Amino acid sequence: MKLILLLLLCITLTYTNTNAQSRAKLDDKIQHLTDFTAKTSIIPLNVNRFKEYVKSPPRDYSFIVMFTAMAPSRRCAICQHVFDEYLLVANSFRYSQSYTNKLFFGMVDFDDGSDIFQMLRLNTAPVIMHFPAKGKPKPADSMDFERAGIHAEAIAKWINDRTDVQIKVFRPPNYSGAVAFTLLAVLVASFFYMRRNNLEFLYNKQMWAVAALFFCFAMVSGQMWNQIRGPPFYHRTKNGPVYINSGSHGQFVLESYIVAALNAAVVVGMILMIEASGGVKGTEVKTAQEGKKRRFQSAVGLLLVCVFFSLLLSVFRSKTQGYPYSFLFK
Amino acid sequence: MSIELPAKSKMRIFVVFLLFISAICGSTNVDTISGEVKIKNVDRIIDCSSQLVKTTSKITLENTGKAPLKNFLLAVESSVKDNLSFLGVKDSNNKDLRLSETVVKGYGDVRFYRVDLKDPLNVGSTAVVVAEAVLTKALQPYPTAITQQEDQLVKFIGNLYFFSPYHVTSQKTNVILNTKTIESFTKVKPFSQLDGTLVYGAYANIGPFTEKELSVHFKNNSPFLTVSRIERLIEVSHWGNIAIEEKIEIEHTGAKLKGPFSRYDYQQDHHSGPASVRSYKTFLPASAADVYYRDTNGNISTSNMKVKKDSVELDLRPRYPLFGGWKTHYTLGYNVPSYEYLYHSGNEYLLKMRVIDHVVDDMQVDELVTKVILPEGAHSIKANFPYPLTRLPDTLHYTYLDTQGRPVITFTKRNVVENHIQDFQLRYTFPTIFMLREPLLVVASLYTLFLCVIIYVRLDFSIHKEAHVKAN
Amino acid sequence: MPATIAAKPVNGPDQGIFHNTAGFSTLITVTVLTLAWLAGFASRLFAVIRFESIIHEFDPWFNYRSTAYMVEHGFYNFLNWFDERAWYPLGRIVGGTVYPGLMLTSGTIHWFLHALNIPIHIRDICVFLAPVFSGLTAIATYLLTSELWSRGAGLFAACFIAIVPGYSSRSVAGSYDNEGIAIFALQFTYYLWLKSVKSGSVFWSVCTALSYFYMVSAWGGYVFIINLIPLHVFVLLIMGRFSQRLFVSYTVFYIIGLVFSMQIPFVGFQPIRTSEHMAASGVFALLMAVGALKYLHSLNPKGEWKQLLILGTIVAAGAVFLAVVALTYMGIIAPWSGRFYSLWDTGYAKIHIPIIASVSEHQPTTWSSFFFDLHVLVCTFPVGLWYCIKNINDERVFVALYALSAVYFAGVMVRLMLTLTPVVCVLAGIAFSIILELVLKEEDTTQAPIETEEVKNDKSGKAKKRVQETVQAQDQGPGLYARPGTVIAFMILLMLFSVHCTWATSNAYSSPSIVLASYGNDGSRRILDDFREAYGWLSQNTAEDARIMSWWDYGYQIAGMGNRTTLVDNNTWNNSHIALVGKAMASNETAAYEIMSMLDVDYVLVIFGGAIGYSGDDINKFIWMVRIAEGEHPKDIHEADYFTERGEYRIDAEGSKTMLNCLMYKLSYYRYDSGGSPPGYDRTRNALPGNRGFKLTYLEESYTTEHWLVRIYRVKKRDEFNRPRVPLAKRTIPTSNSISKKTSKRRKGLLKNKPTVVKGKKMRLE
Repeated sequence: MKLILLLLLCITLTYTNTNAQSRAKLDDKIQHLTDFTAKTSIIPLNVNRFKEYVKSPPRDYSFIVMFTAMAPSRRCAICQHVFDEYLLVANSFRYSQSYTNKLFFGMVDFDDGSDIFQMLRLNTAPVIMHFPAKGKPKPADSMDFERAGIHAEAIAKWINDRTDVQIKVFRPPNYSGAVAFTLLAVLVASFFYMRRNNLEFLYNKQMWAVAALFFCFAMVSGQMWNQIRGPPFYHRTKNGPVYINSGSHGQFVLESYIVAALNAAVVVGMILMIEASGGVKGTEVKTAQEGKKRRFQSAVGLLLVCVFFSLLLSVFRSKTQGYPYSFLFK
Repeated sequence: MSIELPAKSKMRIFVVFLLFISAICGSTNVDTISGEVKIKNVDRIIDCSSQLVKTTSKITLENTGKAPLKNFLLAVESSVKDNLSFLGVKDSNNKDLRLSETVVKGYGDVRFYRVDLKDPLNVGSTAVVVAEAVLTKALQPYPTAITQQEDQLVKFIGNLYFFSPYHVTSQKTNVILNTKTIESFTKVKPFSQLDGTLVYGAYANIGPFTEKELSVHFKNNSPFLTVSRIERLIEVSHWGNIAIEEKIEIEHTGAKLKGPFSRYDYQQDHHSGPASVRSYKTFLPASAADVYYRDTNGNISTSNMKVKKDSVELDLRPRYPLFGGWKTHYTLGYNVPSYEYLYHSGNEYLLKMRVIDHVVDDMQVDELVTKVILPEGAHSIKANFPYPLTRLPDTLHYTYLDTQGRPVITFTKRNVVENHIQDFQLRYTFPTIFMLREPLLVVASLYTLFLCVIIYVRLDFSIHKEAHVKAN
Repeated sequence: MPATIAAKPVNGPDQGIFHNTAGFSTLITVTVLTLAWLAGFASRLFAVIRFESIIHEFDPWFNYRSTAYMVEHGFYNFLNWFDERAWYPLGRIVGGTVYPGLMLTSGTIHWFLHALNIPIHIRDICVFLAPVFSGLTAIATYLLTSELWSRGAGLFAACFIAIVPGYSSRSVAGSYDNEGIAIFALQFTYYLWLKSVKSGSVFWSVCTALSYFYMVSAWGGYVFIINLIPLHVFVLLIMGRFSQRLFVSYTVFYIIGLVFSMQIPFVGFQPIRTSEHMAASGVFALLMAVGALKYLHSLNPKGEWKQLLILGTIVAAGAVFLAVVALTYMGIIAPWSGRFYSLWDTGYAKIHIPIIASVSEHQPTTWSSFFFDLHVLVCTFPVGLWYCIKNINDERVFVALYALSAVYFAGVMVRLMLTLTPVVCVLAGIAFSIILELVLKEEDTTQAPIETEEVKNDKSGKAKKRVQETVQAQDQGPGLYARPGTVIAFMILLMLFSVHCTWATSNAYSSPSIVLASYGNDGSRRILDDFREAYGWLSQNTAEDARIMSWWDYGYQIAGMGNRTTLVDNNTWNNSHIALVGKAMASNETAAYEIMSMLDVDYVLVIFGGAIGYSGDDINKFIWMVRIAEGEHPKDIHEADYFTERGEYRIDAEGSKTMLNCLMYKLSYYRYDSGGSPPGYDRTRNALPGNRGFKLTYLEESYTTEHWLVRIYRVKKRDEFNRPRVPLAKRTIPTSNSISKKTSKRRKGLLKNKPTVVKGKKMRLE
């Protein structure tokens, strides 16, 4: 009877004991980690640290680790970007009120943790992985940049999916735009100030007209689309490069330049013709050879208009399936 | 029976209209059942193959009295008298006999009709008349709800014997079902079942007013389409055209659809949805032109038209197949040349058109409203109907270039079947000079318009002058 | 009609009343404008001729429904209309959330015609409203251009805008939408504005304000006007072109326009509370300051005030700007709303407002769609712009600004091509008239069509100068050989333009997406009327108060044709509600049932194009439902789950598990075994569905249209789930039915047909 009691007693003792041990172990682990985080928001991990804090139980915190190769010798351009964004997330987590010690950010550089890479069978960098508090990482626990992108917001969102920690990414405001703007303003102002005694060039309509026309060509040739969608400059295929995107919903950068040029040519042609025949003011011809010159000029203008417009038409025709009309060229 | 209708004051119209009602259903006369009439033989055919129940009874009358017999009575039992839509009697050489509703003391709930024979029936001799009755809603779907793939079973409950105020010596009844699948039917010897028909009788010496239930429960997949309301609009133009437009609300009143509708099953085989109605035929007059078929959402593209020599056949497909309990509504319109329907001598015109036209075979129409729009300026209108109808007060209708409005004659009837497709007559006076009114209106308005423009252009309304000093 | 046209040019100031040539040119003007009107009207009737007189697409159905409501119940009841058929259970206050101009316009026409006993159905008025207004737009453009340049240019511009696809895309018969009348209001307001700037008379600026009021009541695009006109004034100030005329016209226009615009319930106090309108008031204040300074200057017109004037102006400008900024930060003025903000920061909508991003017409514009919508004009309007800037004056400053801003917006958003089109027509008209005027200068009327006449007449101002020029006409300008060549070349260009316009309008912009037509290999046309089939079924065979859940695209149509209550519709004012519907569609049946019973949905309607290869169906839009749902419920919906491992979006056996079990998938492919070989093949995705032969627990198919395009399911009540379900095979009774045999043969033949792809217009992306 006593014996059983004793037995029970020591069982309970041992159990609580082990429990207490692991509890303590966990506590000082968390203590260490919080200290680290106090120093730097991303904990640099080498092999044994990684083993201790990330791999080995007991853990009640989840760990976000970025595997990267920052050394310039590795020539990993994207790593730097990803690191910046990642740092942004880590910082804004650290300084946010939603900071808990249930989530830590770590980072493994290939050069001082290459065998971690082998251990996890990683052969690409950068990779951001999430080690959940309990259980092994699932495939969804390694973030893929193709789909989500590498923006800090995307990373924060992904973290929010994996571990229910809401991180409001706080970007340090980007002053570069404002600075550039003020700089430009100052430049222009100073320029005016220097030229203050003759500002006639401002009334140079030619200049303004040219600027306006360039703006029109840029817009009409879909530069805005390029800027938003970021298409390739042109498309390389096995049988030579393709400059014109076949399909009316897409275009290449080069293609849009070509189109702008065609438009410009037509416009120039028309302006030539008009100027040739006296312009809007109806200027008169002084000499005979000026008359010849004008005639030639107008002929050139006409040629420009017809040829380049029909080129434009044929390009359009090649993009739009089933478009019946064409002029001069097929 | 035609009545004078002064088209001026509503009040008088209304009074006259009451008179009219009283005149058509001459409910004043009271008859007695004379004991001298005997019915020697009755051959009854009850046709249940469609959604209607058509009863044709060949009656052999015998005068056993002293005096020659001028008329006799037909009785309708109280159970079916609400379903009775049409009753007609012909004599042996197929002439319609005049019949009028009447009452007999002591038989409150039985409805009687008095049939006047063409020539009195002499003592001892016999005559043969054929009474034809059409009952609507006499077939009850049973079960009342079926699934998509099931057949539709209906139950008919009627009278085994010919219901008559007279003594019937011998009678025979055929019930035509057009199907072999008969769940159950009343068995009273002697009876026999040929394919698709039940034959009862002959039964001898049945007394007056004897009722015995005859109930048949059988498969009937014929379309149970009820036109719940049809509004028929006839617009007469003296420029040679009569436009007819029918607004039709139609419903499948057979056994309701229970459970899901599966397009897959519906497309699989021919037997799927046996009780559903995919399409039906409508016959228009042979001269009908530019037909349109649409609903509130626009044209219904699923229909095709065949022109035959005596009619125009429309094969109408509703937007969706009609299962039990499903409704649809549509508008059907067409033009007919007026010379076929409009006759005139001088300024007197006579319009002869159908009160209702064909919609579906074996149709049953709950409510019919027919409106006739006469040209502007028609007056002293007299209407003449083939059978009792309720005539509503006249109204006015305004359309292109109307100033005083066109008279509209409206009449309505409930519980209509194909036998009611008959002509009504409309007499009115229309001075021909009125036809020039509308062209003149157009001319005058255009003339004034141009005049205004000319004046505006030619004269100078500006207050200060320097406006057109600047101009040139 | 001709009379009304006739009246307009006569009003023009450059009219000698008893001047003979003036009368003649008026005749020509009237003729050309009438022809332009007729051509524009006729070229917009393709849809009516091919199909029927029917309202198109989505939004027009709402406009039509509310117009019908207004005609039936009167204007004030319309303004107070609370539509409980929409946004169940929230409802929608229609009067306060629409621009009533469109309904008022057609309602007025309806009232007028019926006062004359002309019984035209309101539907026909709605269908033909836009084509009629295109004629008015042509006239307004003519007036605007003749203010800017010459009447010849005006006629060119009128002819261009009458048929140009960029405008007819929004104004074909049946597309009963705000833009149809708004473009007219836009052009007319600009015309009146130019007149008032020219004349500086209060009358014209009041007219401008009135026309602006009509524009505000018609379309949200009035913001373009209320920013462009102040911009014009501002630039004129910078150029030192301040004048009393400008002062009078702008101040009068601004005050009256402001007061009027605030009368529209939907606009309300926005003109003084939101940033979009602040430019106008800022410029107003600035103009006041400048006026005051000018006055001070005029008191003592010595040199030393000059600097003070400039300085004061700059200071005033700065002050106004700072004031606006400060007010914005204090929250008195609302910042830019998302839709406008996305015009500047082009990435904005894609991140923050997926609903806006999901609409295909909010995408940037490729050069080919520029060319498609404007054709030859796209490469000739810069010429007009060039000459406007070269010989600048007040109103040409305006048109230059108009062109530059419009071309920018059109570049950002396909939809705003509509605002670019008019100014392109104006400028191209100017270019063409310049060149043909020069080429045909000394020609006689035999070789030249109409244009010569205007050249002779409306340039009557310069007539004298030209007399001397004719002396050395032969050795000036394009010689005798070049001249006919030029004429011919430009005639060819114009001809190409017109055929292109006809082609584009008929092929791209004239399908009423309610009725689809598919063409077989033999060119035979088949009408697919499934939408109206389904809506007709809903309206006839469901309970009066049944609630239909569908994706928001179909809300207006269900309300308009089916006359049933919807949860979400095309006025996407409540993102979270839409996201809830998206979540229901995206989650599995059980979870969806919870949502549906929470929203007490009776029927679910999905569009499924797999049987006929209709590309605009719900499965193709589904990814946007997921995105919008994820935006609101990031816990439950993850976009990634609907893609395969390799990030593809597919529905066949490789498709992700979540995809193959979500409600949308199940409702689309439930018992779908028809559609060619192999049975159950999806012609839109060109794949065999991955998950087949499944059963539905919480819903039952209650109707599916003939070509499977629309599928309607009934949500079961809670007591209906676990009934013993008798398999269909046991239910059937072998029998023969003569009716069904014939028709189903026909249907069989139709099913064996080769796949014919029906292009769904205005589909969402992906």
